[in-house]
Amino acid sequence: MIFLPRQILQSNHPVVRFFASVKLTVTLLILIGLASILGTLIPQADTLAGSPRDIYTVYVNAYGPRLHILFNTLGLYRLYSSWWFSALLLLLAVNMIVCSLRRFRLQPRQIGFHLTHLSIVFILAGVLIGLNAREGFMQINEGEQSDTILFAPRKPIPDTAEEAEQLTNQQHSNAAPSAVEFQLPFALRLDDFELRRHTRPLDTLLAQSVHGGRIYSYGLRTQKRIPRAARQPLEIVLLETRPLLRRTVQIVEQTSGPLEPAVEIEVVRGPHRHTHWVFARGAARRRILSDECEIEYRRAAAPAELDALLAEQSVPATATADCLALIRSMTDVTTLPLALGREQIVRDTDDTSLAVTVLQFFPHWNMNLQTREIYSASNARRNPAIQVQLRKGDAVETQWLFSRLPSAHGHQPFDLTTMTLQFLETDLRRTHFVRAIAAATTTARYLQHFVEGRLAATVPAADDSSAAVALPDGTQVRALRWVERAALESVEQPDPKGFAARLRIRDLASGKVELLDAVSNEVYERGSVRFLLQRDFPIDQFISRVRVIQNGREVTSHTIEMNDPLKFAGYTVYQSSYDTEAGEDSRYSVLSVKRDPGVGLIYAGFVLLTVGLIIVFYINPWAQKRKRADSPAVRAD
Amino acid sequence: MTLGPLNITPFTVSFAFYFAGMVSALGAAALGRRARALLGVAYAALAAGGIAHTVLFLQRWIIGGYPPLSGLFDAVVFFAWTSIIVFGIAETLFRTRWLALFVGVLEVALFAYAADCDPTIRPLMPVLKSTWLVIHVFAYMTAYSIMAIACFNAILFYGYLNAQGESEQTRRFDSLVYRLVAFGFPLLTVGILTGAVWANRTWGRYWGWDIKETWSLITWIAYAVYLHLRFWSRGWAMPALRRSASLNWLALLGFLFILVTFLFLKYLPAAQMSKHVYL
Repeated sequence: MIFLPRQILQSNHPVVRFFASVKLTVTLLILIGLASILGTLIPQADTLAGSPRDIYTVYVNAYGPRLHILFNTLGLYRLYSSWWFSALLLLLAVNMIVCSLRRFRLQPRQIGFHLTHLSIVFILAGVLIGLNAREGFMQINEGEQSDTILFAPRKPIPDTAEEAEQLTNQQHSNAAPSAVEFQLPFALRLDDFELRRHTRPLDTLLAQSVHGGRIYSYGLRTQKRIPRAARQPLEIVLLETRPLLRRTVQIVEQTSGPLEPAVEIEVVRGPHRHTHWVFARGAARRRILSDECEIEYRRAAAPAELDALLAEQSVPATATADCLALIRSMTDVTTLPLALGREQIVRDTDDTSLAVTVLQFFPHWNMNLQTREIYSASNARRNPAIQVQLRKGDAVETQWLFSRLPSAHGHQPFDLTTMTLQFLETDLRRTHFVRAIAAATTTARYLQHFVEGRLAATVPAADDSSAAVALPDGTQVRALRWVERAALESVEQPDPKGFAARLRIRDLASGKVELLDAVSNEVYERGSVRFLLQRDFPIDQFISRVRVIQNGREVTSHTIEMNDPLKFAGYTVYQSSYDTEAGEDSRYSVLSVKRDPGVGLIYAGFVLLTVGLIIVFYINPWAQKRKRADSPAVRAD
Repeated sequence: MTLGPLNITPFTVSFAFYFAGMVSALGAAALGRRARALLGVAYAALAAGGIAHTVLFLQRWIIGGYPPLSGLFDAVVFFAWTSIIVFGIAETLFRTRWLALFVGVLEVALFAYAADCDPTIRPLMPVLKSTWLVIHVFAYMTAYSIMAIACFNAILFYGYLNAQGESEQTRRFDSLVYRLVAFGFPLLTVGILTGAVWANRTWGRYWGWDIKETWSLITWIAYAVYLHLRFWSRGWAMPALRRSASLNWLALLGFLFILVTFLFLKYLPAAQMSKHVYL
């Protein structure tokens, strides 16, 4: 088109004049603008979630069956990629080119005009090339690698109810794939994913009318009328904050008292570090460190027993009983089979009895953050939890226990100074098994690593806490402290995840003033306002450390962050998501991979457009003004 | 309803000054030439408000440790700030004597809107840690302010056209509308383009027909149509002022689109899907 002969371009033929006219430009711009507005009023299909049936229902409810078919045929549900919208854009580009070529003169005044109009051509060419772009998602577990990306094919939009049924059934029977795979010319290995949070907490006040509606969020140090839109607002002023003391149990070493050998185990994986205490006595000598790894502490009473333990080349697989709730005290371990609703009595050391009832079991515990409703998201055991009710005398308390988030148990119930509660799933087969071995008579200490029940390594750990068992995913397990007489001690410690605050609350309707000592995460209600204090550690950065592997060799490595993608072989890899339920403990990262060869042209168009507009609207008027000042006789315009 | 204790902060101080500026500008407009001094008071109050406003901006920058440009509160406050600066420059250059009233109303309206937003200084979200953000917001807010002043001049143009017909003043306001739109248009374009570059760097897509992106394009088209019509209409066989009268309403429409894009998209159902941070 650029090589159109000069005669045609300069001719006065109505068709040429039409394509070169400003009238066409203005008409096209207005049509594109109106169509764009329409596209923001009609929900676009690609922003709707759900099956073809769901999408059909949304549209038919909104427009009725007849209008729906018309809209669908006109492509209004994918308006911006419809044939007629693309035609408008293409026509605009043709208009720009013809217009620019027709007026082409080698004059400095014209440079800006031509650059501006040429830029549109660059951008459109980039978009056209970009139609071939590859885009998809890759989910990689830490320590693993992948060279496959998945992308969702375009969802069909059914015209009729029958078609919607048919397409939905096809999807359910997997006849129509919901994701398509694409092989990359290289593989990515994820060393680790890190969710870095700010170390400084952000304290906020959440408020809502008791009748529901919008939840307002205020920084705690910014006051005041709460909620601003409420009919009966409160004025809440923060007077002071204090650390929140919580009673927790910690393990201490005693010089006298009963023998209770225990070992403190440290688990380090990338930036994550956890410690666990494992006891030599009772069923509590087994602990779950992760989905894949379990640990046991064995203590040999005599040298012969130590030799026998060290000679073992395999350990039996974990027992395959059902889930258990486990009450562990210093002297005793009580296991409760998972019988819902049956009360069982456990004795505490101070001779009061504790009644424990398992109320509920959710294999995939989840909470709706808006409604605070707790439910099981599926029947798969992804986050098993039990709700137990504890009764001591007249006091009753319920709490959730999580088998895979042992630290999320909440605070210690009542004053159970010598007891801890734990929920174990014993039917999980873990690939890795670590065994800590100590002897009563000597100072010999060992860590052993079993893979699928077979001995893989034995590490002496007598007085060297740096001796560690290394798991294939990079996890390091080491023994920090071996204690002979462990005892549980109840201490009051500041809770870093919470805080207490003194508030002055004034009811702006009645003028009543009240001083309130509030603690975080508890809901208070005053008048028609419900509020709670919250401490949050906002996310600082999502970080995936990856290595690029090509033909079996590591080619390069990169730390992918938000706004800092990895670029390799024409592909760009962005941080996209992670296991949002696990948060900082996410063991996988979701990367988005894109290859768009049109981006270079687009960016060139951006530069041309900016430079062109600067010349047209800043430099040309300035030059004109100077010229006019030089020769007042010459009239511009 | 009883009022709580009044807080003296840069926000409330500049709010108060802007309010005083608006009231005295209103008085000056009502009394006309008899109240020259009142207009001086309005200028002084707006200037004082601008100084307190700058303090507010810098204070939030220092506390947060990053330019306060993200989040609805900061965006509205920054738009108000670029508006007072652009107003200061425009009024020094053009001496319209009317802009103080419009800008006073704009500042008061923006501050009232901001007062209902959450002003908490939160740590920056990972997505927003980008130099492109700074250029994007700076270009956009400056462009929005210039377009706001252009819109006010268009209102004045129609007012004078109604009252005086063809006069020196009418022609002046007409020329100001065009010059301001022509000055703001490249900045508006830079705003869109830097937004696209930023989106490409963050999500790997430079344009996704997100509702915010689409409406920014619609706004851009409105001004592009105005500029093209200004050029095309030179060939029309009608008096220059009638020509302008049939075009300048586009500067009003354009600013209406800016307000929709900037502040009112959250009332559209499609806003639920938007990736833009505040809506």
